[in-house]
Amino acid sequence: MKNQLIMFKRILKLEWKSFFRSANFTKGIAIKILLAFFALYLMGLFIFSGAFAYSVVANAVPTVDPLLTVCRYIVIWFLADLLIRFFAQKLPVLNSKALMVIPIKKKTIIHYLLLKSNISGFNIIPLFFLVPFTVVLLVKGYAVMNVLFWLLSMVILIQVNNFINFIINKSNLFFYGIVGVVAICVLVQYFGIYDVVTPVGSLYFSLYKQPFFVLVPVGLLMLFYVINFKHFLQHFYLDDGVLSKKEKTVTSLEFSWLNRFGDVAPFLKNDIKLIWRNKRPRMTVILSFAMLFYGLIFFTNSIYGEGGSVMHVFAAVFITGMFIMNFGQFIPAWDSAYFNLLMSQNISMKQYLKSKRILLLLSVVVLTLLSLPYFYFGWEIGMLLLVGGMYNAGVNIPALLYLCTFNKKRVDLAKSAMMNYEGMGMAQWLMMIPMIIIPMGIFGLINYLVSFNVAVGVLFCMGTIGLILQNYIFSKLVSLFKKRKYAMVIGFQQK
Amino acid sequence: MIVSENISKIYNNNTVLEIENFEIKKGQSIGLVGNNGAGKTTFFSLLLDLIQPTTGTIKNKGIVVSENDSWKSFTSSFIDESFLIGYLTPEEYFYFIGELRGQNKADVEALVSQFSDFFHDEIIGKKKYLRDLSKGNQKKVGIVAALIGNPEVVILDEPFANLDPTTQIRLKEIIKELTQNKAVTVLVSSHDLSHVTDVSDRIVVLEKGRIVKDLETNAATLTDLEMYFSN
Repeated sequence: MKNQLIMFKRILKLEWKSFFRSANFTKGIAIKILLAFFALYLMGLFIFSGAFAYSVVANAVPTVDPLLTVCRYIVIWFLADLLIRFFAQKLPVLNSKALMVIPIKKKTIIHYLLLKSNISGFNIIPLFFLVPFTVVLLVKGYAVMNVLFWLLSMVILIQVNNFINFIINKSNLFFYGIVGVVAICVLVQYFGIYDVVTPVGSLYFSLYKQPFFVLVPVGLLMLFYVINFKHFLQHFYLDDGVLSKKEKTVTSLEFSWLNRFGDVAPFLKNDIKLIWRNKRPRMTVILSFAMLFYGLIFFTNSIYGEGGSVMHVFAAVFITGMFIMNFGQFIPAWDSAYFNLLMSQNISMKQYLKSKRILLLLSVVVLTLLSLPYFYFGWEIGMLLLVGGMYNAGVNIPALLYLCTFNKKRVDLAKSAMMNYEGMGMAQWLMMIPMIIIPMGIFGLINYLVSFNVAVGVLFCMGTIGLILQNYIFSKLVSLFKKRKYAMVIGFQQK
Repeated sequence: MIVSENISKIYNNNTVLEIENFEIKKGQSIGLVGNNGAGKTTFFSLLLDLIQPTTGTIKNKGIVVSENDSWKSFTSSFIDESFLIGYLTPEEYFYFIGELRGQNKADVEALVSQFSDFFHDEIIGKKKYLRDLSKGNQKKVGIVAALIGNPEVVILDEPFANLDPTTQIRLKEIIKELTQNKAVTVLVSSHDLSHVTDVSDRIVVLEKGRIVKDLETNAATLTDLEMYFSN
């Protein structure tokens, strides 16, 4: 045991060095500061909600013990937590192959990896909610021992989630299984067929009622730890799991229907393969489609205004332009790994960029068509979505491509898209101005001074003018890209 | 075919390449040798317009490479792994390059099938992405892709490195076949003096960015070069 601790310390030292000596460490201070603010904001939010959850719940459901109410909904939190972890939490992998061959016991390394995962932010942030909430419970006169053991159970269950996530991540089947179960539960609950929340809530509540029930979470934790440990032990080989992804055989894809796009077809086909076969672009695109549901929040909630408010313009531009913002922002950095090939192959910069523009235009058309069901919430909203699509096509695509000329940071295709700031630069932040703020401002001003119809008309005209001028603007962009090409060649090589 | 005039590349007062006048005739096969940092890859990058020269110009078939893209239609190259698209299978990669060079699937297949012994059954039909192939196999794919579409200029940076002996020998045959009709200009850089003298009819030695030797290949060339580099 003592030996193990010494080993842990040594590995930890190595990781410490790898963190502070990494090439990226000194870069991007601005982004780090921004992230720090975001973390502080999250912490504040959690502490705040932890402190006020009790009284809010007590007011909302006065007939039930507030703790029981919280327990009923805590399962949703745990499931959401699992979902976020699935996308965002990194699996515990070893940074260095070197550790595999030097005399440290395999088991020690695996214990280390698993234990290290326990101090991830995903496990710590919930404490900012739970601890204030517990304090409030104590102040309100709940039994001290029971409350403390309830807190302990919750903390352990968070760790259980941590380990469940690693298992789910092994296969998408588990993931879709969980999504399916959650969807069924939500539907069943929503249509009042069966009350899922109450019995599940009582289970969590019993952890308060009977402090010794803490043994159940403890048992679960041990179970999932052992499952993970065994899995890692079995797969602790270079070609297997822990260090690298398994190679899968792949099927060739043709997409010959894209040939109608003529000389840019090879690139469109390639971009589709790029999206389909690489983690980061794939997740980016999935997120773009998921954002279609954003409208459900914006168009149904009266705090964002009724039928065609400024916030609705925001939502409309956002929904129809999500792909251009998400995917487009990293043009041409997506191709950074083989940029030299593209620059020396028998293609012109114009063809290359044209293929990207067509891809972006296609995305706007598809997303706008998919968002049409929102006409259900009123014709104003439907109009805004159509105009939002038009504005995206005519103004945002050229604006974005212009900002893309500043891209010269490499993007690694294999990494996750969540909380990934690789490839980010000033351009990504500046994008927000033409994309979101200008249409909101123009619409807001004209809507206030003149009328809704005129405001919509102006945005529509801006989009149309952009489309009419697109060839002219595009040729300017091509020469700009040509000038920036050399900086991109150098930048994209730097890992 | 290729004419470079007063070409130089300077990074922060550090001259990495300085060549006054250098001409390569059509159908010549040129071997570029020199120790690390001699400027071989810099020269290739300039020729491919991947970096800008500090002074001078390079013309490829009369076209100034930094001003006009049209040299790309008859020039092909394989420099390093940044010329490979990792998420494609080798076949898809060949077809992609073929499409860019105006070759249909059948053309590409006909060309690639000539290299089945070069590939040694490890590349075609293996259903693997390029990123999952070994370094040596990746290199083979890159080299063969550079031969797609009847290029008039072929540029290969260190093609012999990382290849197994059988493949090195086969690659030499491929390069010789390419140049035997004197229609294709081939530029090859290498650290392997014997291979490079085998395949080139002219050897250019670079040192610290300058041309220090420019030899027609003959029986004594290899000994000359070995003498030069052992000092």
